[in-house]
Amino acid sequence: MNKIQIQDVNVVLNGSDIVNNISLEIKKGEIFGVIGPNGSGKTTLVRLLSGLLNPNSGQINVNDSSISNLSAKERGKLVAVVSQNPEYSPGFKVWDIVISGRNPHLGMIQRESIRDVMVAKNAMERVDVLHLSDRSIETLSGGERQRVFLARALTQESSVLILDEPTSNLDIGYQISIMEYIKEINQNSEITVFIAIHDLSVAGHYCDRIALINCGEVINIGTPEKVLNEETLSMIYGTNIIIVPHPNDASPMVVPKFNN
Amino acid sequence: MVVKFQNSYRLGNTTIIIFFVGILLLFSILAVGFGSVQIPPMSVVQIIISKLQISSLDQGIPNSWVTIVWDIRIPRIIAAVIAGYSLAVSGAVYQGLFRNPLADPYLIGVASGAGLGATIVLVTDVPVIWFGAPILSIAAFIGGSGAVLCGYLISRTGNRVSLGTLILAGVAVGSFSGAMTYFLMINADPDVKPLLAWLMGGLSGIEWDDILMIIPYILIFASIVLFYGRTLNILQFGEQDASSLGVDVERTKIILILSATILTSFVVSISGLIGFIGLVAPHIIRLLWGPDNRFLIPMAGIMGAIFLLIADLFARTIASPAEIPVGLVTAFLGAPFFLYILFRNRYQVI
Amino acid sequence: MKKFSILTLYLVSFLVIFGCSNVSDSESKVDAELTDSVSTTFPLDIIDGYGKTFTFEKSPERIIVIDSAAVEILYDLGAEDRILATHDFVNYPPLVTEVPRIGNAFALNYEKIVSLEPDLIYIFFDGPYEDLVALDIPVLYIESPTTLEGVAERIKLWGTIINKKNAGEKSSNDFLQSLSKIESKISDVESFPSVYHDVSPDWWTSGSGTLAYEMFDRLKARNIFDDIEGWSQVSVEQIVDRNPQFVLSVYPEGREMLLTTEALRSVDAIRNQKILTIEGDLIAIEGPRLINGMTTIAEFLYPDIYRE
Repeated sequence: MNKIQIQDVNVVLNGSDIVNNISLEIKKGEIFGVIGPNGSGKTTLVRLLSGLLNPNSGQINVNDSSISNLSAKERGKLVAVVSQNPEYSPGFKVWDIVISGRNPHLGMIQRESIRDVMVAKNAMERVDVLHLSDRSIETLSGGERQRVFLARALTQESSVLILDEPTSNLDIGYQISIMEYIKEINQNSEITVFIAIHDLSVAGHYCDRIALINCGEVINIGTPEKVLNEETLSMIYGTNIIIVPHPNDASPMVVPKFNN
Repeated sequence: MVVKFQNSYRLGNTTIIIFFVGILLLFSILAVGFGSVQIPPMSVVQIIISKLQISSLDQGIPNSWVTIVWDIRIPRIIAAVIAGYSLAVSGAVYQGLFRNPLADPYLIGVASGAGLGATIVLVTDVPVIWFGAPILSIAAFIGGSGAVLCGYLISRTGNRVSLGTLILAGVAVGSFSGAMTYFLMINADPDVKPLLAWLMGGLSGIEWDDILMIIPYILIFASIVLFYGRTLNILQFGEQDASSLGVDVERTKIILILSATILTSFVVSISGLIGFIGLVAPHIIRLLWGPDNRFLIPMAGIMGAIFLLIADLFARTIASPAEIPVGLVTAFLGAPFFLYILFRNRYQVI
Repeated sequence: MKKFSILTLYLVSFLVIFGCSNVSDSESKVDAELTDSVSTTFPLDIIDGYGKTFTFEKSPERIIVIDSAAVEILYDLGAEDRILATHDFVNYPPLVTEVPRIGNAFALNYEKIVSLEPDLIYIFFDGPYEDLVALDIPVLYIESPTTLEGVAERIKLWGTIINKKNAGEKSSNDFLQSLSKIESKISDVESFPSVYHDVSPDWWTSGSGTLAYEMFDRLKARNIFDDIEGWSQVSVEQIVDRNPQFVLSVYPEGREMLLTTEALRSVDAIRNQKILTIEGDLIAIEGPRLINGMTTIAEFLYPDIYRE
């Protein structure tokens, strides 16, 4: 019973392979991480799963329906996306942004119902942004803003949540808090999470399974302990890497081996 | 913790809209009473009542007054409302869609393109109306959409539209259309040159026929745009996020550009080029009440209508018996007011 | 918006400068001794539009004429061979189309002007004056006359300048005589027909102080916008309210346009179809053809008198 199936997918842009024959299966309810160096194809994979990019060949199924055959509305009900640097216009209130997550569920001229409002409120409570409701989005800090977009994604009530490097611009405190929210959401709502992530230690701690990709190809796939090994990472990232167990839970921590 | 609920927020907006619609109606009615020729208010009322077939006309009222009220003032007031509303709504749509505060029917070249389209019809032997179809307006629309399409295609790379390029291309296309229009004018048969005076903008020649010709289209497309407030809000998140949020981005863009361009072009085809409203009205609403397009679109339209109505009232009365071009008044009244609003909100990001 | 206001300016100026007379009250005086002798004594001093003295050492032979009226007068005096070039919009007499063009009031081709080596350039507006002086070209600027007397004077002046005094005086006298002939023909008229002068479809018209106004006045017609100075766009309401008996339209579509304008239904001139379509130049260009214009209008206003 797989939630997301990626089968033999190829993406060619301007004559070069961005994604080269990738197949992945993401199980229902797991947190699946994709790691890899810059330009390895992580973001392309995210866009493929979001239905924003159609593969040149291959098939992507979410809940057994092909993502490229769905209408934007159907896609919005199935998959929620938090992009790497969400765009926004100044002046919009946090509330307006979060409630727009209900859009896939609403008809063209349909107003938000009480239930829609409650869904949005709950989502905001879960990521602790309800008190920011009336603030203009541009007045928030980076971490608060990221939580607002997370709340918007939750408001979509989709069963799949896709995140593209959700922590990349945040300090360590916000990084961990965002990841904790994601973990909580995943566990309590049985939402399948697909996350493209830079920080290998964070990936190692929070993900159930990880795929390491490079140059559009899957190098390794499996549990963090299996995928995060010194030899492969050192080779792919081009720097000497050592793995140490975390003092608390022994999850693999990836640290560079400094030359001195 | 106090959280405002969506419902109460929306109710407030609806109240504001109803209030300003009321003001617009009131001003429209009052405007019928003012004009270059002074007609007592009671006679104006009587003329309207008699025209609506409610009672017959008082013997004491001269025929010329009936014409002035019914065939000059009322069509002109309706035209001012339609044109002000349409230009402001188009401006709001372009600004929202292209996510650029400078986008307005003039800057992105639509108005100039529409002017060129209409001018081509006027200098050639093409009929202005053909079997009931408003050829002049349609030609204006073709010119307007040609201009916007041109700017759009130039600024599009892959599936991204570079907004800076779009505006720059719009300015270039607009200047080119303006130059073409100018060229056609100076090379036109001297006999049709006076016909082109229409291009400079103004509502002095408006008749019932002009209004009846365009009003069905204006009503249809102004209504369509109203339904797209929420979608336009979501487009503020960028095309990718909007798509993830269930918006069919390409279809939405086509529908909105088409609607705004029709609104602009059809208005241009009867009133010529009246500037400033499309740019300023949406900004005033945005600065006063925020950028929510569900509210912004109708309110900008209402504000534009009120603004053009007042401007035209000035244009037709202030120098009586002479008239001054309404474009002069819109700039003269609008620019200082806009600057004041900008100054008052100078700490606010646009 | 901006470029179109420039367009507006352009078109309006086009109407004002090339279609119609300039609005200025000052009359240029001929300073030269006007005698009955056939030839002019050179050097000849005249007062230009700035009130300064302009001296002709000899009669100019190569003149660039940036003025439709002066072109017509020179043709009338048989001095067309002295016209070296003219502006883009001159269209009368028909032969004038063969004369080189050096641009319009807003864009003079200075290179061409210099290359033609004129010994006089005449302008009736002072815009390019300084530029032309800087190019070392003898430039004469005199405003257009704003009265019919002034037109007669101007014909005489050109006769003097081109050393054809007799022709100038004859033409000038003919002009005045034709004028008084028309006036005496309608001397018995006691009603004062009201006229709307339709200059463009967006309701431009003439007011007092214009040549057209004087022509109407001499024809005992009352311009319904005599309370406006010069040229202006007017309110349609006012046209309806002032209810002219006659309309004078100076563009070919005018008649159809007026007849199909719903708002004008109740206007007498429209109901009775008293609309004259007249070539605008006949009542605007300050030359001998004004008489043709006067006659046409007189025939239109007083068909009974002219039928006899």
